[in-house]
Amino acid sequence: MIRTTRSRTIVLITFALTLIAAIVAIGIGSVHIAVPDILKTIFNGREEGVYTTIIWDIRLPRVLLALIIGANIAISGALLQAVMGNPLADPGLTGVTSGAAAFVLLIMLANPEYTHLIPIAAFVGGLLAATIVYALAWRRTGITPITIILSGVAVNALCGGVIGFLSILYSDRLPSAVQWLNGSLAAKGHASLQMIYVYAIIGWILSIFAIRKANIIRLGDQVAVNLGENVTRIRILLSILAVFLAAISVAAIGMIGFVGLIVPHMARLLVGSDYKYMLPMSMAMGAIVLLLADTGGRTLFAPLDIPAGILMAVIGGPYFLYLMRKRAF
Amino acid sequence: MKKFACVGLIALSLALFGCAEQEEKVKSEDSVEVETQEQEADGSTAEADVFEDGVDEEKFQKLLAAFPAKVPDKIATTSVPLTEMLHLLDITPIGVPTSSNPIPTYFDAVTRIGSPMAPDLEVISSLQTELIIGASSLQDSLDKALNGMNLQAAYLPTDSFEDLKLSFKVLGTYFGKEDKLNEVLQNIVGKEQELAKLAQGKELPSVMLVIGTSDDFMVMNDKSYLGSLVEKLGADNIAKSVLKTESTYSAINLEEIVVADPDMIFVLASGDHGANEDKFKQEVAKNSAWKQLSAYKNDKIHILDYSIFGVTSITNIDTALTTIADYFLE
Repeated sequence: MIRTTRSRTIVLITFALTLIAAIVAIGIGSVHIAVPDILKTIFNGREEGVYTTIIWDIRLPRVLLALIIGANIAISGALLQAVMGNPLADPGLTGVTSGAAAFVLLIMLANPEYTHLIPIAAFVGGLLAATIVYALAWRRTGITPITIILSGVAVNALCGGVIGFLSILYSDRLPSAVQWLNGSLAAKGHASLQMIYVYAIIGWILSIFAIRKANIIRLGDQVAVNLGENVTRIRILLSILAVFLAAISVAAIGMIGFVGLIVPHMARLLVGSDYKYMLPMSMAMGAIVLLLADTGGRTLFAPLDIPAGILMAVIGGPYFLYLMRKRAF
Repeated sequence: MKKFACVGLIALSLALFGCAEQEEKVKSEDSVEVETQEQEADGSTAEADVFEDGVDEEKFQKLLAAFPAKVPDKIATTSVPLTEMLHLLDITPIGVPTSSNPIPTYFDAVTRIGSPMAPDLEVISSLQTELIIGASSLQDSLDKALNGMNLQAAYLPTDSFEDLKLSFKVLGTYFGKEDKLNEVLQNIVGKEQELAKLAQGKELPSVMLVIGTSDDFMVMNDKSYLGSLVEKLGADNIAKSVLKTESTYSAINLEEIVVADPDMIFVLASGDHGANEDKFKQEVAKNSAWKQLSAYKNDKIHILDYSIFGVTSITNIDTALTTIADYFLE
């Protein structure tokens, strides 16, 4: 009971912090705007002017996108970890991200006239990669960390090869995908936000229904079967949901690594393994982490806009090594 | 005898004096003719030197000195712009690069030697190539690739407008094709002067040069080919003047662009070479930040033809300069 109350409080505090982080992120940026001007611009609504454009049309959609996509990837990672019973399972390491990216790039570079099909291509690519990883990693005893890493490496290498091949074949068209390849929210406006928020809300609602199932398979196949659950069906459905959330994120801003891996891990440390708290905690923390990465990317080296994916790799890589060193897996 | 010698000497002196006077007269007439031609071309009495090609002499001599003393017979090139220059100079190489960018059709039968960055060494060897000419921007990777091969290499810059003139002059001079060289350079210089005159006294717009799409783009500064053309015409490129970018291509925060608010935007829609203005504007119309830019409001976002502006090309310089100038002066 005490643990439950503590977990609930931590989750609520994290959501409150997310809100505060969002407000702060809207206040800071490449162009300095004084606090009174920010408040005036926000409370006066959409009046014509440079500040209005910067705050309403550039920062606000970008901050919301970072929150939504960070949440999506973190939830996706948490679900994959439950499905595979493995703390190393995240959209990046399991090849979902690179599978989605290879298919998206196939449209962006080879068939740019079909850009409207990018979300579907990302979903198909992610699902295909996940299926291959499952098939390669599955043993009678389940999925062990080593098999998931090895099959993930194989699929990532395959998709990386496709991405590299496309980049060389269409090198003259590469400038239109450079930001996307590095996972960037630069120049993403209301249109990107409108494209993703409907999918994200659907994914989040489905995730609420997934909480109980994730908790059941977390207990192990034998217990789940004893409880009368169809374990394989649960795994497939949760995987599809995880791939869906990761794929729409890749379609919108490209490849972002480590959020799906380190955020659920941090959430588990703070609120335990019960998905009732762990999933919303991952959602809030994923939102904050990506928001921090993006805000850092657009302010640290202004006027240059460093993709959030690059910052996440720089921060996430050492953290991953730290976890390995601590034998957290 | 002495008398004959004296008469002969006087006659010879007179003859020499006469010739010298005639030559001076001819020279004088020539210079008058040139001056007249210049004045006609200029339409003014100003002493404009139409034959001044504007190429940096120091750089020219340095690049020329890097070529082998003896002009080889078998040359290959790994650069598309340099291939085009060789074609203009009536020089047929034994190998040209494999590229999606257009190679003069005259060279259709010439062996393709692989990509500009990593040519096929086996093919180069089999052709018994004596000299390989590549782009300076790829010198590091090419030098590594050619390391250990007994092959001479020379590099020429091809990134900007001035680079093209410089490299063309080096090639023309090295291969002894001065007539062709002067013909082409004079045309370019003539176009430069013509456009400079048209722009005189007019306020040129501030410009932003973009490559990519409306939501995944980079801004180009004066080191790019397009940037060098804009600079040549005298317009203000905000990448240099406001954003102070140092790299040729920079991912710039949209906030900074909104504040800089360029009068005109040129787009190289690299994601889709066939993209037209309507398509790009439809994309831009979905992004409210782009819609706030003066260039959008005043209908001054122009999509440039990738085949002309996407690849540095000495053949297309005339069209490229004219197109940009037309937008500036419209």
